[in-house]
Amino acid sequence: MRVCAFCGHELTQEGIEKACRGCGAFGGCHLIKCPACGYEQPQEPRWLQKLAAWARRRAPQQPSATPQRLPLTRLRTGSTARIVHVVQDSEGHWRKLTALGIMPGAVVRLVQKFPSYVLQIGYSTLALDHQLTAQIEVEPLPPESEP
Amino acid sequence: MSSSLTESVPLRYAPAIEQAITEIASLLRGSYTLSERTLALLLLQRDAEIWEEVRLQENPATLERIQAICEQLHQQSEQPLPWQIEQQRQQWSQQIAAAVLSRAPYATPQRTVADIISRLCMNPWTGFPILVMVLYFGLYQFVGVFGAGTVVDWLENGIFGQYINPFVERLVRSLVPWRAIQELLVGEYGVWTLGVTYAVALILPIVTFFFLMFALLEDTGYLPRLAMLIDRAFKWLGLNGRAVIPIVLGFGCDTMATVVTRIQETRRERILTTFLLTLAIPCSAQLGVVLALLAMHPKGLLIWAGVLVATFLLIGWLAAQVLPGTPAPFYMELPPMRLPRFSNVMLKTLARLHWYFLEVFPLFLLASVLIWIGQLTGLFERAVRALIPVVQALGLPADAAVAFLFGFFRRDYGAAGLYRLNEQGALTGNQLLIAAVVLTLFVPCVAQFLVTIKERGLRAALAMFVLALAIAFLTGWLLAQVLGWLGVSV
Repeated sequence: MRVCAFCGHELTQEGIEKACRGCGAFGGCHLIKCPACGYEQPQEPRWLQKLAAWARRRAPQQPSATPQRLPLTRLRTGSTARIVHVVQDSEGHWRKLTALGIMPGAVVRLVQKFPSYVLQIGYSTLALDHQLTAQIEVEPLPPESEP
Repeated sequence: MSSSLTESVPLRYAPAIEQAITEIASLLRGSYTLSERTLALLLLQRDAEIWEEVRLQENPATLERIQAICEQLHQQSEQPLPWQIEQQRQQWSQQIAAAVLSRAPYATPQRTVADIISRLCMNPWTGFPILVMVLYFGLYQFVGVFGAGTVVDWLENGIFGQYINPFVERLVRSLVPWRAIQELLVGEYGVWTLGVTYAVALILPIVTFFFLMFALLEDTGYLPRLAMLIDRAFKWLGLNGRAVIPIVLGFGCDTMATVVTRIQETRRERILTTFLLTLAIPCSAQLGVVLALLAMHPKGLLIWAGVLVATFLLIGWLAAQVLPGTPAPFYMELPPMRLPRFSNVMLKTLARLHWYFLEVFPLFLLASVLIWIGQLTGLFERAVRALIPVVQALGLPADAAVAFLFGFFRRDYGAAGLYRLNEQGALTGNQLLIAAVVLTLFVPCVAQFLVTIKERGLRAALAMFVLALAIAFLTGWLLAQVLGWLGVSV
């Protein structure tokens, strides 16, 4: 959440856009105008935002009460998860995944993400590309569970 | 033992599925290679290929009945049938495994040497340097320099050139009185002197070393890791990681690599790979001569490699845009890294050589017969005359046309022709570079062309042939213009 450095008003994307609309600079200024007080503050550089996002990802995650569901591509490298759904595409790629044991209920460990995704499932290791991996939805499991 | 085990633990699906299987199996009347039970299972899972086959053999009423059974079962089940069936299969296999296997506690992940090597091969930071080392030492040094250089030289020029061929030539010329037949058998491009010699003394050692290396890499489990590393880059060319195997093989012999495109899944991918092999991947025989040709001009060698890589990427990208269809997604199982077994590697190499010889040897014989016909009918002279203006447009002497024509019959023959021209001092560095680029991109050798027809069909093969020809001369012409414009001389 971002707040105005001058008056402390909470800045939303919508509010900023509204405040900036009246200005003729067409957004080339890298400044954010507070809709409440009109103070113009510099925008956070892109790399700083990325750094902050990275730091948030690195920080130990609090085990949430309700397990969240996410595409396998977003799972953290090295962690284990249970597959809850595989998107059934019209071209039948999901059938191939089924033949490899990738279907709801199976437990996988994400070994690496680049240059290809590598999963461990049971005693086998599989390499998949981004397209197929994004089709798989998982629920993260606590770190000690085995694939 | 296995039969008694599967009898004591029978594979049975859920009652509803079993009932549907029995019903469908009793309806099938046609003759199939699969059992009725297997067919019924695949029909229930809506396997497109099997449905196609059943549609051809059964009458409409039966088909409708089967459709109805499928529909009913699909509506009854909560989750897709393939998942249910797979789940029950896995449970079944786990039951069997539990009966015969005891499993060590898995708590601590094992860190064996194989495991560490495997990780090093897959990690992008260490994996790419390892890839370069494997390609350089395994492919270039072992297959290219030693196999295609040293051993071929000894076999072709030594054993065949000095002992066997002169003997056969004398024999044929003393036994066969007709000059045309003599030419067919032992002439400059005869069945024996070109076909057999080429196949045995040149191709055989190269592919032997190549298959040996390939079997070694295969048995360690490195190839799937190579495919996995390279997948992202190949996606750009409309291919996936699987294509790395035929492309790497192409540096050994493009003819063999064209056969190996069979491992790819879709026709689109096979066509793309075959075209790139035809155009931009020089085989080891060609590589050797071009390297020798440009050895005196290191700058030229660099430009040659740069132009080749650029053409490979650009044409690959363009072809991927033009061809209809979507790229096939990449998936591959990564087996654990293992130490290859000597006997296994040898057996595999032998089996592949046997297969390769049966498939490719007749093509070499056919090629020499074609050349013989070409020379006999004067077709060759006409082709050379037609090539002269094109060659001159590239700024090359007219004599180079002959080298280009023979480049089609033996890729390295063409380059060797240039080598002779170069020795006579007829070519400048720039001319040599342009000729080398055009010859490398040029049409495939006759054996590769015939295999392409066999694998991809005549129409696709001809289209590739014409395209490769056009791209080769266009690139050569552009290079000549750019070199002249920049005033570069190598």
